[in-house]
Amino acid sequence: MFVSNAVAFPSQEVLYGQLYEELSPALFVVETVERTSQSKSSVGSGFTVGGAGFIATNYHVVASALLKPDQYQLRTQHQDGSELEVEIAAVDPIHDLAVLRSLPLAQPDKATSTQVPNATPKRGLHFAALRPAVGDPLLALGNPLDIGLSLVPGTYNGNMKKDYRSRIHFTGALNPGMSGGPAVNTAGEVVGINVAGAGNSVGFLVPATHLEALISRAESGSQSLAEQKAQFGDMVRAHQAALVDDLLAGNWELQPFGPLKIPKEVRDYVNCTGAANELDADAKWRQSVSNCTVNDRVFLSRRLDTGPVEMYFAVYESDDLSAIQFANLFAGGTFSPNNRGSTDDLTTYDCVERWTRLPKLGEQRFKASYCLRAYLDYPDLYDVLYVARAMPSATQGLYVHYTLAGVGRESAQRFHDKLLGSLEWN
Amino acid sequence: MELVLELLGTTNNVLERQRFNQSVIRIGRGFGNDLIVADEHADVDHAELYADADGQLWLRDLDSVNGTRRAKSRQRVNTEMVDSGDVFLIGRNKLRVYRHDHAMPPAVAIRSVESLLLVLGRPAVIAALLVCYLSMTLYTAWQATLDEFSWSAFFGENLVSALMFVGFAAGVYLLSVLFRRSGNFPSHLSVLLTVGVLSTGVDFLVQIVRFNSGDNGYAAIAFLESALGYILLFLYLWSVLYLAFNFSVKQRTSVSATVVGLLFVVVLLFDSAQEQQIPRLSFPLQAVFLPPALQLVPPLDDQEFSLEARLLFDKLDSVREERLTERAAEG
Repeated sequence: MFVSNAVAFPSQEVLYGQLYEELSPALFVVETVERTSQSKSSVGSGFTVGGAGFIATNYHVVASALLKPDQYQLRTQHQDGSELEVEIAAVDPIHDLAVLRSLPLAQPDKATSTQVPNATPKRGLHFAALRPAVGDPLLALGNPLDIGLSLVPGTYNGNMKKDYRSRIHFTGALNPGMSGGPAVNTAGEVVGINVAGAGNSVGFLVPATHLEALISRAESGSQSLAEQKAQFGDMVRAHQAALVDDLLAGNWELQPFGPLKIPKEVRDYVNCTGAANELDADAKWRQSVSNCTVNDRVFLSRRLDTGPVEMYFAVYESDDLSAIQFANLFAGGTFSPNNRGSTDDLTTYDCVERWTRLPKLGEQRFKASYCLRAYLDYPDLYDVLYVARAMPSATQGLYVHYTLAGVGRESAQRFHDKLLGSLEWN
Repeated sequence: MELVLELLGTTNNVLERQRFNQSVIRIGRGFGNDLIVADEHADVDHAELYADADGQLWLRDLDSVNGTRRAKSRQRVNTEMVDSGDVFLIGRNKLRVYRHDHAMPPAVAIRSVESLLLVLGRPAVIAALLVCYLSMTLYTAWQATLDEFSWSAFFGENLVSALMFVGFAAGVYLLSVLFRRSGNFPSHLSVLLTVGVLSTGVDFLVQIVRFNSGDNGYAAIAFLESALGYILLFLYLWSVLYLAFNFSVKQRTSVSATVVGLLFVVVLLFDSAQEQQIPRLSFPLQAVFLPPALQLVPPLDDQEFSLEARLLFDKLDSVREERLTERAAEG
């Protein structure tokens, strides 16, 4: 079987081999090393790009070294075992990109120089001038599962429609450790940067244009790393504000859902799923759920990510339960935040919980909870969790719920007003 | 001389009371005595009581092995002047001496709450309370069941609490028999049932208040709920000390208040030890929901709600500042 494959695509194999030979001098393994034990904490990939010798990788590969320089350091290693002293030059957590700069060679240390030669920055890869066509072959390079630099052939499938940040859909196996490596066309030009895999040969790439922008920023050298770190909060807030604005400007045509009319896929990248227990003949109640999410996660640190938006509606109905039984059932629903975070990075949630009316839903009373937590390191950045519950009748219950992660006050308020202001009776 | 002698138990309860009209009263374990003390630590001829020419009462120890002592000071006496109401130790028993004309306090009127407690012991009342409590338990269990109601599950779940009820009432009964030589099992059972009925009712009322309240009321409701728990415990102890141990109103009030106070302190210490809690990540704050007919307070409109939410942003900013200050202090 393998033989027949080899016979079927001889030219491609030769091409891949040539490309690997040409590109591999520009590839690096980027490791985060715990300073005390000098053991690897995480492994990713990187590559030299452009003429200035910058090494590109993912932000999440270098985040620990950036955020906790006292505990972690970077180690950049060429496949021949030579090491390169680097420092972080510029980062873009929104698109999960980082650019490293090689440091001037230190005075050779006799004890180590013989064992680990210092690598000089390799010739940089070039960016592709044209976007590939859907179906064009792409090659992802990196260090999957830390087993050594590898080449993974795959296919370009255009930009993800269900992705606010428009990452590239790469049909090819991206495994942990390949993060930060380049995905190139058959001419060896960089189309994207490996960022995540979703299993079964579904992978995602950051479009190379974002890396070009970051390299320009690094070249200008206008901002120190501390200044860049200080702007993370602003960057996330601005990114989420743009997302909220884009959502609010979307298609808010309401869809019937039980007694309500609700918004669903307001944008292409809003992913809606439904669930119901109606088919269960023995169930004494019916439950329908509409859950729409924008799973647009921004990695900030290993403990903290942000970005997802969720709009959830549920209707409970019953013909068999008494009002108190039904209320007991209905009271069981609880909701949790949709992004990862710990008390080291966030305040604990605080809530306002009151009886309210919603703008277009007349006299119907909702018990609404508005819960909020703040990011410790990024001022004016919050996670919002809202739940409103109502029983329009003794045997019908409604949940209206949304979460916003990493938003400023303005965006939070605008989203709240728009979503709750849009709801109507069916 | 005309005297009344009382033998007292460990809680000063009267075990025996006899009236004498003679010049010398002999006390001891021997059957030839006027007051026979059934206690191995009492001598056969232990002590004697007599009056002198002036009518003054005296107690004389008859060289007993363990002596005769004043109950309060435990001081050994040989020949001791006795006033009406004095208490002495003969072996392990206490002896109280009264002159026959000793001034007695007037009868304590039965208070309405005490008469209510006495009524609780009547079979019809117990039956009514039992029916009431069982119906409430059954109703609660039925309302909490979403699938088919299962009697065996109901009995299984409530068997332990039923046994606890009976066991507790029996325990109090045994204690009262032990200390007072009398007991009233039905009364103890009915006091427990009353507490059960009251507690179920209070729980439901608190749920209604919680359902109607907002986050600004939850702390007060939690306080009210725990206060009601302490009040019920106080009432239970107060009633039992009356019914089982015949404590006076002053005694039972102070004992009940002390027990409740101690429990409060223990719970407080335990709570402060538990202060480091896992932060809540599941909302709403109060899961309780009741039928819409029980929603009684007027709602805010969404604009007013948003104003409250906006204040929350300011509050969180202050919390953040505090946390950052703490973090900086920790280095």
